[in-house]
Amino acid sequence: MSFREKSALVTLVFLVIVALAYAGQALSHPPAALVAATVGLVGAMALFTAIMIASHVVLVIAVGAKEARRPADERDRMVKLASRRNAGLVGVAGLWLILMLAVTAASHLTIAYAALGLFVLAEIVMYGSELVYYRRGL
Amino acid sequence: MPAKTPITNTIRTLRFHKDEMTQQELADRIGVTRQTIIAIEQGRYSPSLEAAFKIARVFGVGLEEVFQYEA
Repeated sequence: MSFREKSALVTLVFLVIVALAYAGQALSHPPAALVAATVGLVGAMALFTAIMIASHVVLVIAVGAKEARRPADERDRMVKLASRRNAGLVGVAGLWLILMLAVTAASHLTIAYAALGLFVLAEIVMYGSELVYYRRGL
Repeated sequence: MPAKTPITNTIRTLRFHKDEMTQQELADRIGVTRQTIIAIEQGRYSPSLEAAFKIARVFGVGLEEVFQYEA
């Protein structure tokens, strides 16, 4: 596994964990107001960022700085492009769900959670696609 | 099941005959990663035209001696 593949795997795993934890917390203890929801979201993002920094420091130490600093080659760029395309498709498809929620007079919080969920889902699809393309091929 | 391209290659054989060149050496010479060379050899990735020409040049052979297209 290359460093980029390991990075994608680590990011995907922790993204799913943090997203599920946040979703569980938000659903079991729904915030009374948008402000409280925002605070919770910022906290989750800060936690995810801290986990990413720590995990990637460990990853760089494990694989070596030379391998980690190696620039992306043509295959890395192709994998990234194809993965971002998949994430974009999910984003566009999910946008219709958001629009439907908006026109059915769903609450602001529901729309915000749906938008956040869509963003996270798109990221999961992107990193998942990277892993599949690296393993299975393009 | 890995996705196979219709393009096959003889890179592994050519590397062996070129003083048993390693995948890392070939990767360094054409500017890609060892994992990319592995993916090319296993048919999981079709290199760009530029990379294909570079590979052929490393072995001092024509492009069609390195890559074959199976329709």
